[in-house]
Amino acid sequence: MGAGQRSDEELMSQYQNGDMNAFNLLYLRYEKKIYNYFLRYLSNPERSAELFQEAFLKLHRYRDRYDPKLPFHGWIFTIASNIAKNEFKRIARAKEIFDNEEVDYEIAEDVRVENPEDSLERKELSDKIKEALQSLPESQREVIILSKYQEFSYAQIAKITDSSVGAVKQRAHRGFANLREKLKGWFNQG
Amino acid sequence: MESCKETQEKLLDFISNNLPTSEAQVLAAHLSDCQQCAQEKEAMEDIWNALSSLEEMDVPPTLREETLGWIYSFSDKKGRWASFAGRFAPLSLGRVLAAIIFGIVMILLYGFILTQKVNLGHLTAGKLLTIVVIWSGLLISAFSFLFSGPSINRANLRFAAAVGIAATGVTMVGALFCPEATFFQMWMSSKMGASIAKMTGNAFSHLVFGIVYGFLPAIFSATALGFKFKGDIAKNGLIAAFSFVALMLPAAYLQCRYLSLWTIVISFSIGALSGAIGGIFTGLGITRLKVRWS
Repeated sequence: MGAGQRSDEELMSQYQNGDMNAFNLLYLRYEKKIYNYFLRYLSNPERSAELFQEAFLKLHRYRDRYDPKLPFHGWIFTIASNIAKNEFKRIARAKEIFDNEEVDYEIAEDVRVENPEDSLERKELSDKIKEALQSLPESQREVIILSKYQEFSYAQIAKITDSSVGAVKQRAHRGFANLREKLKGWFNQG
Repeated sequence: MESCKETQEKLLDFISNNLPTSEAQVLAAHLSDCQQCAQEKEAMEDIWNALSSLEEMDVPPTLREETLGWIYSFSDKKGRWASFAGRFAPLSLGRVLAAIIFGIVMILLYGFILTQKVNLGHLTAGKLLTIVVIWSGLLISAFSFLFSGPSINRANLRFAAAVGIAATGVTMVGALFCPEATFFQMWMSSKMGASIAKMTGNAFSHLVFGIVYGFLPAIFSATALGFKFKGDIAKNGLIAAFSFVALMLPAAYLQCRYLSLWTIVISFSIGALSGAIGGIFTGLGITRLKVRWS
């Protein structure tokens, strides 16, 4: 069986037994997902990069605690979610104004070649959505991010965020209603 | 047939694939008959899909290099040892040397205490040397595991090694302060030990002693491991019990000169094994209760 066909859980189990090649494959599968999770959630690229590193270091440090019978996808996002939660707590403690710093989503766009008009329109929409996402309360934002971008079900999100399915559903509905309100003008919602 | 209100309440769950198939079918049927709800669904879907315009960013190469560099520097300094050595990831040369030094110092110290305090006249020089060599090897291995914290198939060898080393330390202190009264002798002179010996003979009393002696540390270590490694309490508990027995046996043999080697091996092994099994069930029970309470 080729390395590419191994499931996340198999790779993690091999990694627990010291196979660093298995870790490399897992890392490559998840680096983008985890990085973007923090970028979207925190709206701060520098802190996102630091928390991204923290997530993978924790994965390494606590690799023996992972049970290969459980889905790896959920486990690594639980780590990321806890790190993000701690970050928000830290920010609250330090009384920093969280949304002072802008998310620099243009980092990767710099290297892309695009039609300037498309690019402008896309950037405008992207900015609007970014702004709308950032205006959501943390708990609603996290549920929307995990549901939309990682395609987790409400039940999976409930496990990751250590809350009930009902609470997750409520946050998703409220978060989406808020987003809709913010984006009303852009989409001519009737 | 669902009402428009019910349908619209479920639209977000529908477009985010959170509705069970049966409910999704009922909702889809309603949407095909109700223009108002279909329009509402399209409006919501526009926004939901537009969220995708926040593209996934690539991880900057420097961030990737730095992250992997850290993890590799934490995980191993071996590289070429490949996957077998990977199990003992942080076992560097420095740690091995430290383990050898600690192991030899401990065995020398213990040897000194034994020769000064305990009558070893029943042992030939060859037997004594064999025991010391085996014991040194076990202690050095235990210190290596203690310092490097390897894990094999989620069994934590650091904790098991700590249990074994602690047991050796306890017997060392015992030999220092009570050279003529080992735990075994105390047991045999106690009311219970003496009456068991009287009723069933010495062999059974020795066995009970071994069980009592091995049971307590094993039950504590397996229970403690149960808290730390929920899924692997059985494996960790048994390994801790094995480590305890392996490191205790030479000390027990040297000190309990009235007993045969097999009496010691069998009684201690049964004691530690039954302790580990007891600890595993206790640990699992407590873990389950914790989950229920939380």
